Amino acid sequence: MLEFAFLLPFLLLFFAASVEMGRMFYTYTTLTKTTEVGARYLSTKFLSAGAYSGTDTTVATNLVVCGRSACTGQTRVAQNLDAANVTITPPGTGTGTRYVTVQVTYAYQPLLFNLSNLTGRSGLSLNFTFTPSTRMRYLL
Amino acid sequence: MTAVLMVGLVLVIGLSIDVSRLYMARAGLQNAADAAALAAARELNSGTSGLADAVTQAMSANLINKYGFNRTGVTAPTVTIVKVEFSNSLAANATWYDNTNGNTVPAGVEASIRYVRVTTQLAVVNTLFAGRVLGANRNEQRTAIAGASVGLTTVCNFFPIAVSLTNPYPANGEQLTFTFTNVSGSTVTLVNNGYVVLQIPEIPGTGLPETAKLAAGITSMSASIGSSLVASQSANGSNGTRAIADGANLRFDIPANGYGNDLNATNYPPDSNTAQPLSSTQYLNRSPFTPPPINPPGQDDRRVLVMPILPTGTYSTSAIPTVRFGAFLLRSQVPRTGATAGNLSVAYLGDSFPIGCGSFDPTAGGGSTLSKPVLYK
Repeated sequence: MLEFAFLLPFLLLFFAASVEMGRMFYTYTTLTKTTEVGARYLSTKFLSAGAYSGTDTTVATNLVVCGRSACTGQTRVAQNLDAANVTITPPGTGTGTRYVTVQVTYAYQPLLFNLSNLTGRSGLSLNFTFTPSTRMRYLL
Repeated sequence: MTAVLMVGLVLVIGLSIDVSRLYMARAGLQNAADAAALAAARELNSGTSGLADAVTQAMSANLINKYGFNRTGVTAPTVTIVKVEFSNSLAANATWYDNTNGNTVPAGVEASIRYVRVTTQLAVVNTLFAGRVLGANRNEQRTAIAGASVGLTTVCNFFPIAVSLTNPYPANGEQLTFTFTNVSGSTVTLVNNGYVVLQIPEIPGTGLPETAKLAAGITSMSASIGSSLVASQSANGSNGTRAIADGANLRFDIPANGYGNDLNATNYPPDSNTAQPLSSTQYLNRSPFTPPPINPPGQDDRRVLVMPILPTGTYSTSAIPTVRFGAFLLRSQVPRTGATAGNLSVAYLGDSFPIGCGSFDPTAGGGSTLSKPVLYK
C-alpha cells in the first residue's frame, strides 16, 4: 500500500499523458473532417471573378469552426478555434478543372499534461501546430 | 505489485496511441477518397468519354490530399487513388467495372452508369507500441462512392432560353430543331419547338450584346421548377437571331465580331469537341472528335444546353412558367442569317445528366432528370 502511495504521482502523470495524447489525435482528426465539410460546401458555390462571395466564405468558415452556418452560441469543434485559423484558397479564374482548398492552421494547446508548464521549459511541450487541409474539385 | 501493474498500464497506453494514429490515418484517407469520388462523379455523362474523364479526374495529380499527422516539419504522405470502378447500381450484388487501366464497361452499359467508386492506396501505418496486438504495421485503405443525385428542382447555369414542346419528354438522342420566337407585346405564343430568349437579373439590359452574352452562356445564376421567368424583349426579329447565333457559336470556337472584346474565349471557352453535326451518342463517346481550332483545348460540356421546357401555348412575357428542365446537345453551329437564322439544332441528352450544381426541394412540384454529384458511402 505504501508502494502505491509512492507511485501514485507517476501513475497520475501517465494517465494525464495518455489522455492528452488521445485529445491531441482526436483534435487532429476532427479538424481534418471539418476541413472536408468546408471544402464540400464551397465546391458548389458560385464564383465572382474567381473568388467566393463574402457570405459563402463566412458560412464555410463557420462550418469549419463550429460545424454550423452561424457560430453564435455554438461550441467550437476545437478549443479556441477561430475564423482566423481557417485559410480558404478559392478556385480562381479560368476554365477547366479547378480546385478549392480549405486549410486549418491550429496551434494545439495541451490542457491536462502541459509539460512546458510543469517543467518551465517551452521546448518540452505538445504545442504542435496542426495544418490539416482538404482539396476538392470545384464542381460547377 | 504496482510495478507489475505498471507494465500492463504502459501497454494499454501504447495500444491507445496506436489505435488513435490508425483512426487519424483513416480520416485522412477517407477525406481524400471522398474528394476523388466527387471529382470523378462530376464527369459521368452516360457516355464513354465521361468514364474516361472520371478516371482522369479521380487520379489527377492536382487533387492533392494527404493523410497522417501533417505536423510542421514533417511531410505527411500523399494519398493516391489506385482503383476507379463504375456501376449502375448500389445493390450488394452489383457489378463494378474496374476502369483503372482502360475501359471495361461493356458497350451499351455506359449509358446506365450512375456511380463511381474510388479506392485509395494501401497506406502502411507503422505500429509503435502494440505490435503484439495489432501487428508490426497496419494496411489502411478506404473507398468512397459518389454518383448522380435525385432529380434536381433548382438548376443553375442553364441556357437562358425557354423552349416549348408538345411532348415535354423527348426520347434519348431525339433530334429537334428549335426555332426563334419574336417577343414584342405583353404576350407571346409558343408553338411546338419554339423558343423565347429569357431575361435574367444577372445580365441587365436588353440590347444585342446582352442577348449574345446570354447565348454564350453565363454562370452564377439559377432557377427553380415552378418559378416564372421573364421573356426578353431585346431579342427582336431583326437582330435577335444573329445575337443568339454569335453567342452560341462561341462554343464551336467561332469568334463573335462586333461586340468589343466582351465575347472572348477566356470568358466563354469553346467546347473541347467542335465536330459537327454530332448525334448525342457521338458526342458522349467523343467520336468523331475535332479539338477547337483557335483556342484549344476548350472545355467539356460547353455544347450541353440545359434549358427550361414548357408546354405550347400563349404566355404573358413576364410570367414564362418553368415546368421542367432538360439537357440538350447543340449538334451544329447556329446560322446567323437567312430563313434558318437562330435555329438551334439539338439532340436530347437523356436522363440523369449530371450538372455541377442545383438543389432538390421535396415540396416542389414536378422534377427534372438532371442531377448533381453527391457522395453515397
